[in-house]
Amino acid sequence: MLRCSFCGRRAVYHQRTSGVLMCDRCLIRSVERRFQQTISRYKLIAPNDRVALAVSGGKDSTALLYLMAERCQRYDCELITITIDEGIRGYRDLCISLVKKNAKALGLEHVVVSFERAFGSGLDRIAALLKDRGIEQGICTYCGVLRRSLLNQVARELGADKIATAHNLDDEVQAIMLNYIRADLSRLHRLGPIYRKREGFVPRIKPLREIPEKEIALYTLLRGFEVNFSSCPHIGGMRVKIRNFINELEAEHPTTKYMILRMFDRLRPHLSDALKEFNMRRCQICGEPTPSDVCRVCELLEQVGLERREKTLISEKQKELWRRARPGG
Amino acid sequence: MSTIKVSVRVAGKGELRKLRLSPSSDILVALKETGHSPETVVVRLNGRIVPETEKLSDGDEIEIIPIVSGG
Ligand SMILES: [Zn+2]
Ligand SMILES: [Zn+2]
Repeated sequence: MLRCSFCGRRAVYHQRTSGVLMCDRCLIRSVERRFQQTISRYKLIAPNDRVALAVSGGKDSTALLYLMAERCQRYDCELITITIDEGIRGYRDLCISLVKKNAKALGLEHVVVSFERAFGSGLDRIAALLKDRGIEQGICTYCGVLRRSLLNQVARELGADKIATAHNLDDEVQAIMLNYIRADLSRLHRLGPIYRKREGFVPRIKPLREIPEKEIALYTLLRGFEVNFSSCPHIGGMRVKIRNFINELEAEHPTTKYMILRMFDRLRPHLSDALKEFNMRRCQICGEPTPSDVCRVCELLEQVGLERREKTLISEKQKELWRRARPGG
Repeated sequence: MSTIKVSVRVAGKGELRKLRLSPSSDILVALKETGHSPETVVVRLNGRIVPETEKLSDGDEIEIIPIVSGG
């Protein structure tokens, strides 16, 4: 039996980057410490911030949900949980009921906004439309762009100061490599622990960015959270290849992921110099902020014959309920 | 040379695989045999979560939990 390098209890994990063995308690403590360190090192949350948490029901966002809720009990910050229902049958529907349960257990408000309501179609139908029209554009691009836009809109309408997403070390490193390979400098520049955009955009923070996916999975299992480990049926494309490639490298050369992240963090401050300054405008179709005439969401929707349905996603009545529930909010 | 027999099951899937390994094998060997990356799974050995460097004994039951999701 392998024993914890710190306390001698039965080990559950071998952290190959450091050579250390950890028991359940020491692993939980280690994950929580890195979460807190990332927040303080990059000043991700200010006192009294209202933080909108993007929660999908998967392991990463469930871990973030509990970590943030526990942090906000000790420090002053207000949490709102938001789930975007993309309309993926047999996947997201299962996750949503899990999120509801977890949010309720923590006494948190939970807002669900669907693609169906915002755009008139869920992702499954958009996938079918793309196929019918022979459009090459990947479905994950649609999902990502539409989800990020809705999340921003809902968070803004709810008066959030930050949006926290559950991207872990693996997600971040894959995104760095993906944008590098696609030569997408502006997307590359947006990665990092915090991204402050212009007017109309809620700054986005990633408190789990320094923690490997495997350690988050162990954390949720060891703490006994109810999560959905199943994967999205639409996943595919280049990201999966990059993920497998990085994991192969990591297995042979532990620390590969940290090296990619650290190198990127050193480069990142210099990237802004290489990017042209652009002015934010309002999309001519929907009014959301965009650097061009028409925003990316409207552009993508138009390709499949859809459009944004409602300009406002959170009703005044709902907002009023919020204000009343939170004195001083 | 003697060998040990272990069984491998992937969580959420029914099929059980039997592996014959050399006596000093650890879980990493079983993962490699079954085509899993240690980066994308958590392993239970006889019901307990263990590091992949844990050595295997004859009759051990391995459960592989895939952890990588799409969203
Ligand atoms: Zn310990
Ligand atoms: Zn638009």
